[in-house]
Amino acid sequence: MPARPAFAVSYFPGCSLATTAKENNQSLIESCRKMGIEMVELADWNCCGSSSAHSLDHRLAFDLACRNLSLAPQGRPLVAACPSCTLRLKHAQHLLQNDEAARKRYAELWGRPYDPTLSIRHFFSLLAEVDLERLAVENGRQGLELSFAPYYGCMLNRPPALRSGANYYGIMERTLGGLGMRAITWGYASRCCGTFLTVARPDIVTPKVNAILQGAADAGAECIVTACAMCHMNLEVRCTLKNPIPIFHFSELLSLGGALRVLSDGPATGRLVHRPADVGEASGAFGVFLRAAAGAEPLFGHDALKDARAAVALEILRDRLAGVTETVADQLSHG
Amino acid sequence: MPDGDRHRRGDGCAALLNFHREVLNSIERYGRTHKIEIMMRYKLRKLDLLSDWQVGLKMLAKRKLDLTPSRVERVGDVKKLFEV
Repeated sequence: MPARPAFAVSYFPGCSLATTAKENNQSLIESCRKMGIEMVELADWNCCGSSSAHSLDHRLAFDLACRNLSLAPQGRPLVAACPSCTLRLKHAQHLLQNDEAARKRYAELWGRPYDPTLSIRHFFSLLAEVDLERLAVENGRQGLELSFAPYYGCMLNRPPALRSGANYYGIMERTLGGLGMRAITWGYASRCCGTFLTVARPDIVTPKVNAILQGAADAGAECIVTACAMCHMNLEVRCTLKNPIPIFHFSELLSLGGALRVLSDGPATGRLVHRPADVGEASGAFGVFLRAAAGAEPLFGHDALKDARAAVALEILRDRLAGVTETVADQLSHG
Repeated sequence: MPDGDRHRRGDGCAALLNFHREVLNSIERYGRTHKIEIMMRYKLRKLDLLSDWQVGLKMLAKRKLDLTPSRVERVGDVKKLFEV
């Protein structure tokens, strides 16, 4: 139950948070609920067009973003947590504000004029309105003495057209710092992760991802905290380091650090692609969470694979197939 | 050849274009991206079904890929944006 009157926002999850980063979505909604912010999912939202529409067809990118703007109810800000979606939505809004032809097209397509009062916000900007430290104390803050590398990626950078917009760098340090965690200073906080090149050119992405993860470990971080679900996935699936440090979404540590809710069930369970080597050593709430996220057994970790003999390999394969079968059964029953 | 030139030429560039096309096809079909289908279609077109199978299996097992697409209800709204 929220401790204070809730204010409602329209929430645009975007494709990544709705699928590959469910743990991000769940912890975000849960954290916001505890902070008194009700995230009302934008009804019938569509893909923002992502880098693909932006790369191949600017008009399509504008139109796809505009349909979402046209669905937003009046009087509530439209909030996105994905940096790329935020960028696409804000860029469409920028065109609407400054181009008569864009406003005309919007009105023709969606049958109503563009709402100039609509406020589009990144989730980070909501944090400025919440007294997190007080919330953490009220919720029985758990000791989280850990050092983290804040990783923003490059999608929160503003393109020239949006240069007068808000700058979000430093928010993760300030927020998690206020909850007792220690941000390390490092050189990779806004390095590109390789983004959509991950599918067609993993040969480019893997060295970038490895450099980021190694950079964080060398700087003394115990984990990386990401601001972007796309970066997060690249760091997880394209890393080839032997024992990478664990990677968490900002919303997960926010949820955990504020003692808002320890995510030991649901999508967080066993979701780490790489099981960190020192998973058994971490203490406190972070240790509990880390072990839950890593899963009970090291089925997918590099340690397990390194030591695997034929029997172990067979067992791993059997477990993977069991996981796939379970997912298929689960999704068919809900599909 | 400088690195920049190497990345602008050859199969890598065509592969990227194909990937973007598959993403847009998915948006046209469902209104949202269906990642597993995008990957399968991209790889079929490239006749390269074997690379990344481990990553795919791992992500599937960890519930990071949905087998069925998430759809926009009024998908006609989105389809009409693709009509030239």
